[in-house]
Amino acid sequence: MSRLYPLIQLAAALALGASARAETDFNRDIRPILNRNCTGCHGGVKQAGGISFVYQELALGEGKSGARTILPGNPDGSEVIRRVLSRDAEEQMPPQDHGGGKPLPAAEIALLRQWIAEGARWGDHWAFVKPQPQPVPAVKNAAWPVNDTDRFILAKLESENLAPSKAAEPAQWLRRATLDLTGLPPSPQELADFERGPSYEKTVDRLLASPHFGERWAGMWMDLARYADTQGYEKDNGREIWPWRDWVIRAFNAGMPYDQFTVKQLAGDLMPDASIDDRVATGFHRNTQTNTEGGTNDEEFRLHAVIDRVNTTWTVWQGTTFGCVQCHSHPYDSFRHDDYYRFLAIFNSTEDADLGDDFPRVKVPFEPGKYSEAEALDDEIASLRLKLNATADAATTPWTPLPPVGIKGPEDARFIIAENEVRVGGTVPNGALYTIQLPPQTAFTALRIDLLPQKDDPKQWPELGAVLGHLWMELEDPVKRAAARLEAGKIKSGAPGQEAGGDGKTGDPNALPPGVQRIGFHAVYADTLTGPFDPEESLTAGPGGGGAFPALLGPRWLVFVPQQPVQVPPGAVLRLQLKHEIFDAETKGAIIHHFKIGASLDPAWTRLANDPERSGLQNRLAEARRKREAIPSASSLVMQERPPEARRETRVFLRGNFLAKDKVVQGGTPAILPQLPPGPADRLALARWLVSPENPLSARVIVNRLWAELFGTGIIGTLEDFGSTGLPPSHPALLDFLALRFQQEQGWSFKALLRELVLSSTYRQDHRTSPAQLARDPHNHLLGRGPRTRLTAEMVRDQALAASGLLSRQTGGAPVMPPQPDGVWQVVYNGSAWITPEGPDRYRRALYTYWRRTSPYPSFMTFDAASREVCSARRIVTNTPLQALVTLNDPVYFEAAQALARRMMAAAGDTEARIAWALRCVTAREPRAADIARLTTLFETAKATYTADPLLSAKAGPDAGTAALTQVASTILNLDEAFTK
Amino acid sequence: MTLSAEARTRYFQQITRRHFLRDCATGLGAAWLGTQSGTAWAGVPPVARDMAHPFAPVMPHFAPKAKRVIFLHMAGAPSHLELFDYKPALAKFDGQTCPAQYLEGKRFAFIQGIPKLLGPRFPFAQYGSSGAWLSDKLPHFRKVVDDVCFIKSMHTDQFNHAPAQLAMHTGYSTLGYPSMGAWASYGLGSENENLPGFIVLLSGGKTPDAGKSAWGSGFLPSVYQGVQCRSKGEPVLYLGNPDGVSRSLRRQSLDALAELNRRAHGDAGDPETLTRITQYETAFNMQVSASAAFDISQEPEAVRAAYGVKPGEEAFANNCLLARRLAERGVRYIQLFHWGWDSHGANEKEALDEGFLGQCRDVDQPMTALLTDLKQRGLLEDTLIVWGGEFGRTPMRENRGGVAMRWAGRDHNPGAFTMWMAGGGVKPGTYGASDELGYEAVVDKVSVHDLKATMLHLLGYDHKRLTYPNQGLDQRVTNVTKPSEVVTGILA
Repeated sequence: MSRLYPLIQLAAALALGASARAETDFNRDIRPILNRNCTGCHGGVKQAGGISFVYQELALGEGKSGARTILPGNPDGSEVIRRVLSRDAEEQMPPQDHGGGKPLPAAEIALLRQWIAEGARWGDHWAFVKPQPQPVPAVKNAAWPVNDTDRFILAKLESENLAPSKAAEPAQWLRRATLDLTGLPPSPQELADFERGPSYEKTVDRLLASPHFGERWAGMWMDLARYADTQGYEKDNGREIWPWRDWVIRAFNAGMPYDQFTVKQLAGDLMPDASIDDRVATGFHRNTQTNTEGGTNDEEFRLHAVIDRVNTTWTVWQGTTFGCVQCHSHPYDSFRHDDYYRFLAIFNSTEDADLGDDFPRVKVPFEPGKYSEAEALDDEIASLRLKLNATADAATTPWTPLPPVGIKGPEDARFIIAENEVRVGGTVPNGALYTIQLPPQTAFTALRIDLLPQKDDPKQWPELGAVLGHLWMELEDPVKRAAARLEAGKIKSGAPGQEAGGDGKTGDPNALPPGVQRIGFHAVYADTLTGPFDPEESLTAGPGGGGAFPALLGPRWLVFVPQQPVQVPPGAVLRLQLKHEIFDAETKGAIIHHFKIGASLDPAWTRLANDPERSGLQNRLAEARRKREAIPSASSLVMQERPPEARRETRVFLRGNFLAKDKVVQGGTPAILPQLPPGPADRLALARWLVSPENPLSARVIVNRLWAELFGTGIIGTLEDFGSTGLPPSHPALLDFLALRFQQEQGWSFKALLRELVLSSTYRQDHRTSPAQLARDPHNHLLGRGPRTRLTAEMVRDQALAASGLLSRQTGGAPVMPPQPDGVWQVVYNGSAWITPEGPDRYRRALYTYWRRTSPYPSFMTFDAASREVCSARRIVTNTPLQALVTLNDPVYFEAAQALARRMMAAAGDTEARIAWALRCVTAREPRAADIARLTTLFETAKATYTADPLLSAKAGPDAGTAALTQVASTILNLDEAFTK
Repeated sequence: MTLSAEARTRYFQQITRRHFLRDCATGLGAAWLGTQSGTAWAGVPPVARDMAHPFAPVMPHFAPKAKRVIFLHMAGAPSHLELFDYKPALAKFDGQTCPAQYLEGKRFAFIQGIPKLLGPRFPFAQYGSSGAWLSDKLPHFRKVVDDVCFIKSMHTDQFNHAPAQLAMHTGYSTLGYPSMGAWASYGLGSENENLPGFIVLLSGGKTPDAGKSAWGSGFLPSVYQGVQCRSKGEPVLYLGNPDGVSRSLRRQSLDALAELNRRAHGDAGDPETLTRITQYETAFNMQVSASAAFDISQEPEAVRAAYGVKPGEEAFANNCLLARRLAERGVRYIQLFHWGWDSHGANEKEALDEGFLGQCRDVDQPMTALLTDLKQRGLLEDTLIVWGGEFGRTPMRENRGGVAMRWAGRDHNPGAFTMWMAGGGVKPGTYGASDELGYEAVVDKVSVHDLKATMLHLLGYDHKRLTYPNQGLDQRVTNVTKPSEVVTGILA
């Protein structure tokens, strides 16, 4: 059963209309009335009659009718009051044909009147205002609280004339705390030690120091990050991003403060002197999906990923539903349409572009000892590459247009040369060769090729990519050529150049006819180094090359320098051969459809390209790359910013449609929240903004999330929505108190906060419920008893393995493939297989299970795991028969039952003691005599059945007794008390 | 009981149940209604779904015409131009260069530059008293065309498989939204608690491109996701007892388990424990009922022959017969995917003149048998069958990589395709039309959102009121950002 919608809120809603209070409060009294009755038509999206109750200036202004909607201090002069009182069908609000047409209740009208009379003071929604220091409330039962959290909880209970429950038995608390903090149950030994002399604080410290602490909390974070081991969408190929998962585990184990953690997750790559580790951390936002289905547009799915990053950032750090602002202003909260794209601009300039190889990635040495060497090499490679692309004084060179005199290409291509530019239409196949004839007697030291968009209107950009795969020259001496032809007796008609460069399709330079000389370029310089290819690849055959891939964002240029200046002799013909080299069906060949050529006579280019230092740099670069390759590494997806000169322009999408772009926007945060400090509006600035003292939400959201992990429900039930449509907090003052304490006193430390919470009297209460308590507070929002919640999907597996002694406690590393039924894994594209290992990797903790998005591990899904398609802020717990089938019949659980039976045999000498031991091992509680007796009866019956049926027995265990004990073990692993904590 | 009588009964049960919920305060539905700010909900409440009983039947908005759905998804998108949508003009222009106005502003998956038109590959004729056009590749289906409503003006806005399949089933081209079957389960619950309410069966050798998301629960509780069952091997995962555990042993264990759990409930007082006891009993019953439901060997030989079943294979024919057996047993939403219709012409299997013929043979007889069988059993009147792909195919011949291809094939075309529906309150006949080349829907256009609005209407729901709060919006299966309306022209 889910605990989605707490009943307590009903009471709040009912109380609302009761009577006018001493003084109205906009957020408490007025906004709910407006949201319930008005903003559907007069909100952020629809502003019927020019009226909106979302924005203060519109609400206090005039509607289209000219009447003042709300006139502060004067209810009778306010149109809103006149309209809610009106019984004229034309005028009544809400209208009779909306929402049942019932007039507002008198009490609500009275509140509105009072509020207007008091000056109609507007208030931003509470969650968008910084948490304020909260006085710790006085309580009557001064003995109960051990900390201030308890005082807040107790004060509320006392105000409701309720008392807290007694403390839980030590075993109940230990099981709950151990599972909550480490995701594993306490071992029988830990249980015995604790009961001998319970030391709560020491135990909590032990659990917080456990290497399994990080695994447990990484599980929570992986849902938020939509972590998976595959790319998603149709092909759903594998990807290597587990180093990010291990980073998270290490960070939690090391107690990295959440503010620092946040900065690294979002912008580790932009930190000064970012290490490999800092870059790995940014995998958080590379857990978006990559679509490699044939014929998909990479730019479209890159944008899907960016939009996902925006929405996920808001859900995870701000608990705010920002996604709706993608298409229009927020219907209820004061976010404007442009706010979305200003925020998106911050995320819109990373290198990743929905490419099949998940570029860019960082190579993560398997041996931590190799990190510093690898980092030094990475830095050297990056700086050498930049140096080699630097054009120094040659950059100021003037370029003379060099329009081709003729151009040949594939049969169905159509070339138009006009105004010094070439436009290509018709059908241009992948791999096309353009043979471009330059004017007679052309001379140059360098050629500049400008790759231009087909459309002139920047709103229509980006376009499909344009990559210059290979560029070279062919110089034809017509005299020699004619002589050769005569000699061969093969005189053909037609213009020279028709046969040059082979057949015009393959461009095979080896097929050069006599009299034609092939001249390669010596060096290439690009406007910027960005994207997956190196412009150097344009100098040679093979895939890749300079230009724009997979999308052409705007004009680009490349400068090609021959070793010696070119001077075409009179009568000779110089042709440029431009060969496309991309054959990826998804990208349609990255064809160049629009370009122009310029020539320079500046000798600086020749000097630059022949500088001896240049070849030295090239050698050093090759050497550094070779050394880096030699360090065995995993390769993890990272965020990487495009160079400043190659940043993407962000435009508002009209109604969220990426094909309908509007005005350009600059990066920034929404108007109703604090603004970014001066300086670049990048991810680093954003991450620091999120964890700055000025941000009203980050601390509240994470404190609420951790609270929910321990207590089953958040102080705000909607972990993902703190906005005005989310549920209001059950203990608002406590939320602010905890948020400020977390920021200011606990140093953003998960461990400090969790320590305080699990040691609180609130958490230590017995979770038993009386019918009276159940009637009064069915979902325990007042916390008058301890939390009794179901184990997560991961805990269900891990507990069965731990109790049966099978669990491998190895942390980290590549994902593993525990047994799953045949036929679940259907992969047709890449031949990858689900191969279940023998040995310890069969029994790893759940979070290490290979997560394929299109076929996630079935038993986890049955126990409500998130699908990891998009960010999941909250799992909704269900209770279904399919869950019973998993833990009764899945071979994983039957194997666990068999192993548990073996442990039972070893643990004690007689059946009753064995059963008692197992009950305690699995549920932690002191076994009831009746339960032992009942399971002993089950054992005897099962044993009799197995004894009578040796064939059946042989399948379940080595002998009838073991087989019967396996039945008992399976039953114990299926107890309600095994699934709950 | 007739549908309207049943609807009335349910309505009264519902009122009683709400009353119960409010007074004893264990349920959530009523409380939920009271607490959501619900601008859009101000008047008519959404589904009052008590999550303690996620599959309890719920009163729909009005009396339903259909009680269940069988969706036969032809994954990969079959060519409407080779099956249903007869275009003599296209035959006339076969091999000619495609005029520029058809290409301006279009996005294609594979076509590059200026392609050529490709005439229909097979002869067409009219069948039945309705005179429905069919190509000669569906010789069985021509016998039942008078029971079928052909929608020839379908269109979508996605031209890649995975996004288009998502749009077809969830209303959105991106991930994270609930599928139609999940919405139907959430809205209507299940009629048979011993079987999953939303069952998915696959054939064609490959999971559909959108993967499990095509039957996922998105932001709805995961309990509403489709349960992928198999026509080969164990039908429901983990249905069978482990080796060495007999049914009587399982019974003994469950009796002991229930007793211990009852004691746990007596001790801790958590109502969830009682639910868990019930779920274990349901699982025990499911082991028998699901196994029986999936055992097609129980069918008479004549029935199996009519469907053309292929014992032991993961075949569309087997799945069609299973669909009927599951429909009989009250499964709410049965979704079949048959992959292999992606006739680009990139290879023999994808060629219209080769692999496409095998696809037609795979589905023609079974889908005809399913329709006939349901009709004979009186199930067709309240079972809605929906057949179609995620988009259509281009009237142009594909020229992948910008070059002429050896095999004849067509690229993806979101602009027009044909789907057919039958039973469950749908009026047989032909609805809508595409242009003379079959490129764009032009007459009585039906979007994938309209289709779902219509399906929900037949199931008794106003699609704008079957909502769930997510990301600050009352979300629905018809996509809040797109227009959608019930296609009244096809309602019986």
